[in-house]
Amino acid sequence: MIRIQKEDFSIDEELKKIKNDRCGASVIFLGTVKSEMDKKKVTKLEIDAYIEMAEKKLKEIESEAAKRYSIVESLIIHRYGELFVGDSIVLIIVKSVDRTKSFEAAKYLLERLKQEVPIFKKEHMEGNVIWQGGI
Amino acid sequence: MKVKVKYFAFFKEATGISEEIIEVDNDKTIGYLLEIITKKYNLESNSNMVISLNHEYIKENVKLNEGDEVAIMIPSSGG
Repeated sequence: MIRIQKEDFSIDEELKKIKNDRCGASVIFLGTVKSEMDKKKVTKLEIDAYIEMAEKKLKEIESEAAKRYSIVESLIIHRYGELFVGDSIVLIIVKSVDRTKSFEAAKYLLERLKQEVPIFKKEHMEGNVIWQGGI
Repeated sequence: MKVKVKYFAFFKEATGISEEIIEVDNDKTIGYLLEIITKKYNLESNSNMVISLNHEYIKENVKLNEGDEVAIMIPSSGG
């Protein structure tokens, strides 16, 4: 399950949506806005997303991970818009029968998301505003 | 022919728009389209420019077709 959205999410509610009693473990990754970046205070993030392409890429990545790690259920939510320190940015939940594979799959999904999915962060720090990616 | 061009992140700010339709002659390539765009908006040639065609990243200078959707972005930084 893939979602790119402005709204916040509830981990409990999302867990219920992919409940599967065959899986004894759920690995959850939650990315949040941190208060410091390169020793500078962060005031907020602006996230822009090419939603149609991001959804397509995430579906491809999710489907590849499902085959590679025998995932039974998975969910990826990424937010866009204006986010402040402590706000949730990204949620990844992976369920499989084998817990080791669930951990590996969550890491795989996150790394590929960071590298390939067209979502862009603008960091507002004290005295500096930059798009991640060097521009 | 008409091609839809979408701009994201830095390039949305640099052009002041999120998308537009650009008309180019038949058989023209992505490279030709980028020349038009960089001149129109006075963008410097930038190695951090990432291009997609119909929701797939591209690096080659491929030919455009009527109705294509091109996006101009920076490298991904989600997560």
